[in-house]
Amino acid sequence: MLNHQLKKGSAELLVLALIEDRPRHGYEIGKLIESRSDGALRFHVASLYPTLYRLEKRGLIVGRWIEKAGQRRRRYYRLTPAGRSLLAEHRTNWETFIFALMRVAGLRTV
Amino acid sequence: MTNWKSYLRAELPPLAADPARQAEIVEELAQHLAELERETVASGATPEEAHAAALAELSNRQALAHEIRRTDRSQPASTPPPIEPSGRFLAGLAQDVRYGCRQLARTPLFAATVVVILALGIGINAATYSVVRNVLLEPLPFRSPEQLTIVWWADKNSTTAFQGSAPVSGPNFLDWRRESCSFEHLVAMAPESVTMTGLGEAERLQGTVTTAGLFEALDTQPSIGRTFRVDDEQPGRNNVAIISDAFWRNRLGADPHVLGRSLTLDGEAHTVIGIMPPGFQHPSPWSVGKPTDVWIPLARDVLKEDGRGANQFIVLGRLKPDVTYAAAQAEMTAISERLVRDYPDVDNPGVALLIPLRQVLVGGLAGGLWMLLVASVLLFVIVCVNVAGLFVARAARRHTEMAIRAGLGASRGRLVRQFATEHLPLCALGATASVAVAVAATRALRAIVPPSIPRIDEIRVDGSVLAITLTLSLVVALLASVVPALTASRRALAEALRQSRGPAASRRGTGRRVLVVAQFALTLVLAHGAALMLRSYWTLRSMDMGFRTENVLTMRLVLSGSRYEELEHAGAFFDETVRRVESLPGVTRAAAINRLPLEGGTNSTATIEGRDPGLGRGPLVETRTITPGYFDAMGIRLISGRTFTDLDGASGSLPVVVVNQAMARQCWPDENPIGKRFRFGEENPWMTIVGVVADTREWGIEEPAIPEAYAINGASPFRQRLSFLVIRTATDPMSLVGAVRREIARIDQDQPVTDIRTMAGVVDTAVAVRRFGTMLVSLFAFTALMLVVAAIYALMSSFVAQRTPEIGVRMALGGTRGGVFRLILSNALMLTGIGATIGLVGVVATAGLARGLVYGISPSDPVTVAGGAALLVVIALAGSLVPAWRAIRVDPVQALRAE
Repeated sequence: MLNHQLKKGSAELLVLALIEDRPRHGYEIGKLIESRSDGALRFHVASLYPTLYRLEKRGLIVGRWIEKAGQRRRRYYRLTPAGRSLLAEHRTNWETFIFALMRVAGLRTV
Repeated sequence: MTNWKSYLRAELPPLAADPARQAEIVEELAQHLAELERETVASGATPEEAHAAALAELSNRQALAHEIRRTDRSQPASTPPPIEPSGRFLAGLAQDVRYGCRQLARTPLFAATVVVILALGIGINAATYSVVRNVLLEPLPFRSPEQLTIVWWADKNSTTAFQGSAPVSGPNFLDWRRESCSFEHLVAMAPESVTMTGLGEAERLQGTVTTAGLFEALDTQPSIGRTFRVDDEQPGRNNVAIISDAFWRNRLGADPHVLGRSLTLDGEAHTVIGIMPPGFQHPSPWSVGKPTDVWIPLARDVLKEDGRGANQFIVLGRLKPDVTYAAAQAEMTAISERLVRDYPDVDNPGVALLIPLRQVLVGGLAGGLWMLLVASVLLFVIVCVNVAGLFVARAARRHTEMAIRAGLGASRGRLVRQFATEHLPLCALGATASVAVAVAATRALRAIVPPSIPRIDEIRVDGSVLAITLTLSLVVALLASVVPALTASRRALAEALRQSRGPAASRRGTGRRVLVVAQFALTLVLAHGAALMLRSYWTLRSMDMGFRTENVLTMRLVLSGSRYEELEHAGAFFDETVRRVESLPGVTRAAAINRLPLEGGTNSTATIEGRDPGLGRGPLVETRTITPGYFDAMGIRLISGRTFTDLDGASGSLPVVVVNQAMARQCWPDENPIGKRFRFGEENPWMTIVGVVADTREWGIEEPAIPEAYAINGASPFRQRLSFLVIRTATDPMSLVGAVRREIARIDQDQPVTDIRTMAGVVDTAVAVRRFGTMLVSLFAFTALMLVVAAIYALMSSFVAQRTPEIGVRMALGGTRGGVFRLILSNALMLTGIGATIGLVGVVATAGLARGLVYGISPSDPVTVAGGAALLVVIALAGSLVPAWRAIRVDPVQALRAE
C-alpha cells in the first residue's frame, strides 16, 4: 500500500484521468483505480467521495443523476473544460516529478 | 442485504446544511456500499463477510462527514477560463515538444546517430536520383526533342537489336536529303579538330563540320549573327565559322566586334558569322564531353570526295510535326533500298535506321544508371529500417515510462503524439542536414562522373526527390512512433512495474528482430550487386588487353597546314619525330599510329584471295597504320612470322600487313596465315600477310577483339593519317613530356601537341563509366554493411541486457560459458539465416536486371552468392561478439541480486 500522503496528492489526478474519456459513477471510479493499479492504490469511501465533491465544487467535474431502464438512478461525473486543462497540467507535473524521482533516486526502469 | 440508506441516515453525522443535498449524498454513498456488498457476495463471500467489508469502508465515518461538510462549506474556487479545443491541443503539443526536446538532449548520441544516418540516406539518394534524372529522364534542352532523331546506315541484318553507331556516307546523305519528305531538317555532321594559328601559340580547337540546318533543327538561334545557309555548303564559300559563347569569351576576350573577324583554322581564313548562346552545344553521340568551339560548314565536295562507301557522318533529323517515326522509317527504308539497288558496287549495303536522339545519347548508359538508382533506393530503405529499429529500441527501453503514463490516464493517441513529437524533430533535423549532404554529394558526383556521360553540367539537386525521400522518412518516424505507443497498453502498467526484465521484455524485441532481418535481406541484395560489379571490374582490369600499359606515353599530333596535306609529307614528319624521340635518353622505343587501342577505328570489308566472293561478303577488318616500332612500343606480342622493318615502308615495296589472331582464326582457321593475301575492294592492291600479333581491344575494353590488319606508314594501302605518338620509356613516362615537345617543336613549332596521356590513363578512361558505377554501388553496400553491423550489435546488446538474470541462473545452475556464448551467437546467426534466405530470393529475383551490367560473370554466380551470405555471417558475428563476451562475464550472484 502506498503512503497516505502520496495517495492523497495523486487522488485528483487519478479521478480526473479516469473520467477523461467518458463519465463514470463513484463506485466505478474506485474500482478502476484499484484494478488498474493492480491493488497498489485503493480509495475508501471516506477519501473518494470528498475528493469528488471537492472537484465538483471547484468546477472541474460535474455530477449528474442518470437513470437507465431497469436500474436505479446513479450519479455520473464528467470532466468540465477546466477539469480537462487541469488534468493536462497535473500530468505534466507528475511526469516531471516521477522521472525526476527515477533519475535522482535511481529508481529502476527497463 | 443491508438497507444502507437508513443505516447512513442513522449513523452518519450531518453532512450538509441543505437537506436535499444531504439526501443526495446519502443516496450516492448507499449505492456505493450496496454495490460493494453485492460484488463481495458474488465473489464467494458470505453475506456477513460482505456486510463487514462494506462497513469497513465507513470505519472513519467522523472524518468522512467532516471532509464532506468542509467541502460543502468552502467557496467555489475561481474556475480557470475554459480553453478552446484547438488551443488545448496546441498547448498539449507545445508541452510534448518541450518534453521531447528535453528527452533528446539527455540522449545526444542517439539523436546524433539518427540525424547522421537519415541525412546520409536521404542526401545520397537525392543526389543519385538527380544524376539519373538529368541524364535519363529530363527532356533534351531543345524544342520538341522527341522529334529529333539520328539516322544511321546500319547493316541490314543487325537492325533489330541495333546498339552501335553506324555513320552515313556523304553521297548517301545528299540523296536522303533530296528525296525524303519526312524531315523538317536533315543534317550531316562530324567532329573535326582544327588548329587555330595567328593568335599566339598554335592551338587545337574542337570543331564540328556540319551541313546547313543544324541550328534550325535544334531550333536555336545564335545570340549574335546568323546560322549557316545552303549557300555556305558551296565549295569555296564555306570559309565561314560560328563560334561557341565559351570560346568567344575565353579565347577572343568577348570581342564585341567579332562578327566579320577572321580566324585562321587549319591554315585557312574563316570569317566569324555568329556566336551561339551561352551553354549551347549540339547533341552528338561522338562529341559527348568534348564541347565544340567552332562550327564550320560541310562543303559539298567534301561530302562527295570519299565516295558512297565511306561512312563517316552523323545524320541528325527533325521530323515534321505530323510525321510519325514509323512513317519516316518506312520512307527512309524505301530510299535506302533503292540506293542499294542503284549502286550495286558499293561494298556496304545497308538500310537507313531511325533511332530517337535521346536513345542514341543515353541508351547505352540507361542500364547502369538505373542499377545505380536501384542501389541507392535500397540503401535508403535500409536507412529507414535502421532508423525505425533505433526508434523502436528506444521505445522498448522506455516501456516502463510509457506504462506509467498509460496508467496515469494518457490515451494511446497521446502516447503516439509524445513519441511523434520526439521523433519528428529528429527527422526534421536529419532532413535539413540531408539537403546539405545532397548538395555536397551532387557536387562530388559531378566532379567524378566520367565526361562520357552526357549532360553532366546540368546536374542539379532535384527538389522533388528530396521532398519525396523526406516525406518517406517522416512516415517512417511516425510509424516508429505508433507501434511502441500501441504496445504500451494501460493494462501493462502493473506488469511493467513488477517485472522490468524477463519473458515479457524479450517478447517485446520481436519488432526489432524483424527490422534487423529486413536489413540483412536488403543488405545481401545490395552487397551482392556490389560484389558482381567489383568482380566485373576486376576481371576487366586484370584482363589481357593485348598490350602492356606500364611506362607508355602517348600524345596526339594532328598535323595542319598546307605542308602536310599530302599523306607522304605527314608521314615523313612522323618518321622524323619518331627518330628524334627515340634518340632521347629514357626512351626505349617510339612509334606512331593513326588511332590508339580502345578508342575505335575504321574498318572495311576484305576480299580473301582464292575465295569465291559469291559466297557472301568477306570479314569486316579493322585497319591501323603504324611505324615499324609500334608493336615494341605498345608491347604487343608477336605470335608468328615477323613485324615490320624499315624496308617494308620503302617506296616500291610490295604491300605487306601484319594481322591479329582474331583475323587469322576467322579467315584461315586451319591454315598458316603467313603468305596469304587479301584486299579491300577491286581497286586496291593485294596485301600479303607477313606476321600475326596478339589481339588488342580496339572498340572498348568490353568489346571482344575483331579481325585487324596493320600496315606500315609509307606503304600503307589504307591511306590513313598518323595521329598519335606511342613512346615506351625506361623512366616515369610523364617526365619525358617536355623533352618530346621540344623535339617536335624543333621540326615544326606550329604543331600543337594534345591529349598527353600514359597508356594506363587511356585504359582508365576506357573503364571510367564502369569504375564510377562500381565505386558508388560499393560505397552504398559498405554503408549498408556498417548499418547492419550497428543494428545487430544494438539488438544483441539489448538481448544480453534483458537476459542477464536468465544467464545468471544458467551459470548458477552449472551452465558453461561456452553454452552462454552459443546462446547469444545462435540467436544472431538465426536472424542472419532468415535474412540471408530472404535476401537470396531477392538476389535471384534481380538477377535479370543485373545480367546486362556484369562482365565475365553470371549474375547468380554461386561463388559470389555464397560469398555474400558468408559476409553476412561474418557481419553478424562481428556485431555479436562484444555482447556475447559481455554475457559470459556475467557474475551469477550480481545478476540474481539485481533481479
